Amino acid sequence: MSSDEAGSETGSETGSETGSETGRETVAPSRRSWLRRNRVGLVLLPIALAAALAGNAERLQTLWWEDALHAPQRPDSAGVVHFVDAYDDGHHAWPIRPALSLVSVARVDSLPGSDGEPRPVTLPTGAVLHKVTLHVEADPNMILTGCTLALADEDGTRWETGSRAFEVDASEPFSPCTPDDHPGPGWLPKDEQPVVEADEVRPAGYDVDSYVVTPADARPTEVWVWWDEPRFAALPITSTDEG
Amino acid sequence: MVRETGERFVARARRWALDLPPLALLTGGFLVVLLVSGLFGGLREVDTDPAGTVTAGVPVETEPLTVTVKDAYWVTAFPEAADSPDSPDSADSADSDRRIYPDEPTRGRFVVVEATVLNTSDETVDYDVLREAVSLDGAQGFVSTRDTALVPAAQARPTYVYTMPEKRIFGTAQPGVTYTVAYLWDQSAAVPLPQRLTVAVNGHTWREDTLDFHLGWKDPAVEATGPFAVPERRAS
Amino acid sequence: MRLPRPRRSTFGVGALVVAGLAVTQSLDALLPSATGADFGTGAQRPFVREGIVGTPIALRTGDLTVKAVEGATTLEESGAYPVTTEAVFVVVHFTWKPQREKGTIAVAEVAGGDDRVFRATSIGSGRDGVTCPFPPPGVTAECTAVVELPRDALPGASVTLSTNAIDEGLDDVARVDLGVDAATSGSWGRGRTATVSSGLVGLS
Repeated sequence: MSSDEAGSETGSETGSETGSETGRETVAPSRRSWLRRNRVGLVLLPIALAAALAGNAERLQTLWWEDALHAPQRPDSAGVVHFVDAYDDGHHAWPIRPALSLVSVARVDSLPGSDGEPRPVTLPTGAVLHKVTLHVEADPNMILTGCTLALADEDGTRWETGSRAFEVDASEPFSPCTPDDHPGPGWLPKDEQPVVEADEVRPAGYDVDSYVVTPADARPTEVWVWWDEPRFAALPITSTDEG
Repeated sequence: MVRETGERFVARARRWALDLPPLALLTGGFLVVLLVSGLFGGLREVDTDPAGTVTAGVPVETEPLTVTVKDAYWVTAFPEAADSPDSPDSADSADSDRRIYPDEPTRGRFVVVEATVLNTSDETVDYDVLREAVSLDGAQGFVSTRDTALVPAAQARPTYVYTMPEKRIFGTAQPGVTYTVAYLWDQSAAVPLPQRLTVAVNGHTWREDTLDFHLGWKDPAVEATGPFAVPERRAS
Repeated sequence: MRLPRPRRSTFGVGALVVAGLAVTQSLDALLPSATGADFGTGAQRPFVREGIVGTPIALRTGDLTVKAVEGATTLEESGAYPVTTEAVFVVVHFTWKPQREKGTIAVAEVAGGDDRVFRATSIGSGRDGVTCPFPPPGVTAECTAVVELPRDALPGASVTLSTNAIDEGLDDVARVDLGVDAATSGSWGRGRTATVSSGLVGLS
């Protein structure tokens, strides 16, 4: 291999000298000799191009891939997404690996008040309210706070929870992924380990409701759940859900 | 003996220097100038104009603002009026919504400087520059936004800058518009105020940022100073 | 003295250089002058969508309709102390309907007829600024933008509304002419009171 390279290098050097000498007398070196002279360069050119592109690819990673939802995780035959993600700041890494499944998506016109009785909602003109019920199974020691849920249609248009796009005499659930009273562990950069209050311990499996406003003519086909872009769980809405 | 070694050393250094190629001499000279000037802040021209005088009601023209200091005083709440203006329907909820709620100082005292500010540039000037346009000197015990400890007045930035009388945040100054404003510094009431406080008006320089190359108003520098009596003002 | 006779490849290289310059030049013309390193200037300038009052302006991330442009010297806002000016408030009432993702209008910038630029953002709670909610896609919001400026900047001025407060470069922005000329600039909005309001259409 190395002897081959050395050979070709010497070959190209002599070739170039001959080429320039003849070039002064004839009009131009022959095509063949140009190819031969630049053999090594021509072989290295695509490699150099690929290396230059790869060197710039970190911009694709940070400015495009990690900047939006690009990596869907879809359910198995039982309709469960075994979601795989992690919180990772370079010093600490906490796994985010819940099993997510969709219980129902239904149009509603009320939210439960603090006493559990339904309270009517006022919606923007031409908008409707959907109640999304998610079933979550996860290790109670896993941090699951800070997720976002959205309804998405075939074009990728997405309507998120927490839109504050309706008025009601009740409070919207705090998080679409954890029960309001039992959110389980949380973590702040000052802590060594995730911290959980004794009365906030999360059950291993539970249903959680959230509310999404869309225009009446919206046709959502999937429920998306995510913690950090670009990974998200994509749960298809079966036609019976919106009956 | 010592003198002899010294002479020999000088002679040797001279020969060494004369033997150096001119390029090396030039480079060496350049490095010496760079290092020595660096100790004193570089070779850029320094504004040696003497600072002007700040007098109540007299405009101080700086870049990009023209600042006219009107008044200086201290209060225990700002604005000092404890109640909303009394009007026949002040009990009305819509009207009580419009009260201007006073701010309380965290350490017992606000030093207030009232001024008018005119932006003479061609572009909107933002909060950072507006906040640095007026500063104080010659007193102690001010609350800093950066430190938990109290700092001298010269290091303190105003806690709030409001447009008056509506008391909105003075976040932008549009070109050609004159604003009536109040600068508020948070000072500890445990530290006495001197008879007179120095009020300074600061100018800025329009230049490119050395890190991100964006143009902006930078390098606040004192343009004018003046002594102001700072009496207490109570709700009338 | 004899000049060396050029080789054929010299012409090739020359042609390549000229072609490269031509491509750069035409790109520069397409994405105008590259002067200025500031966000949204030079080659990074936004795509301006000119519009008129009452007609929707389609932007990349949603539809914007300017309902009215008015001048005023007093601003009223529910729950806030009214604001008056010796200059003039340019008040733009508009609706905003995002597509695909929630979004808002964050910046109003008036280009004065005299080359001065008056910028107001949604950040802070100053005398002027933009107030606009973050509606979900397909839901319409009513918004108000206020920019305070001196009357001599009014003739020939236009207002630009954009979605990103930090960097509107390479994105769509909507522009509407204020419709004030030298004859009307002295009286435009003088003594009038404008109301600042925002919310989703159908909600109080």
